[in-house]
Amino acid sequence: MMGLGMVGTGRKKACRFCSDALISMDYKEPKFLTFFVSERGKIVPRRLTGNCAFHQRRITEAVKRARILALLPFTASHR
Amino acid sequence: MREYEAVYILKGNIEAAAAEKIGEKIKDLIVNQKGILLGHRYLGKKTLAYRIEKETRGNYYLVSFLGEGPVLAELERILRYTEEVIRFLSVKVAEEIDAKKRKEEFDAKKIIEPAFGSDSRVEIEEGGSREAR
Ligand SMILES: [Zn+2]
Repeated sequence: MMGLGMVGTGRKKACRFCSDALISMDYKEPKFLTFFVSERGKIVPRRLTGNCAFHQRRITEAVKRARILALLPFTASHR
Repeated sequence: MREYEAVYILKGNIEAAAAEKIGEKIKDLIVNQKGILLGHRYLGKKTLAYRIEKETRGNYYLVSFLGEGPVLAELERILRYTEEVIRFLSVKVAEEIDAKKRKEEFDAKKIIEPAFGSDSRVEIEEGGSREAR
């Protein structure tokens, strides 16, 4: 089955988007996107989020679009 | 026909009249190029995650339309040349759209688009420092 990744404990974690088709993946929704980037603004890898390859690609695309629109940073901002 | 959408960002301190004029220009352009305007709306004013052309805040707008490549090309040309537009992004939403059906869906507000709301801002810890400027 698609969407199963191994986490540290060996427990299989299902892709949240596969299990709930209604979750939005819109690049215009920064609140949703902050969930998938680290504090430094990097995209969280699939092995940590448990997303399947298909949905991880969609997230990556959305994050990159949001960066262009300054809804998300490209990198951690300088203080 | 293809469905496209474009988000464009106007300078944070732009006057309402100027913003409206740009909106009208864009809507006219789509119709003039034989595209079908699905919707044009204000998404809100937001703190930018990073500065663009010395601006720290921006007014976000979303325009959705049906058409072929030339409409998009003309839209992008106008957005690029309009000084108040500090950034834009156009996206192909779908290929081979049933124009009539899609227009009806939009008119019936079946398509739910997100809005930021004027007071919302990007909720990123790192971005918070921008607010202090
Ligand atoms: Zn999935």
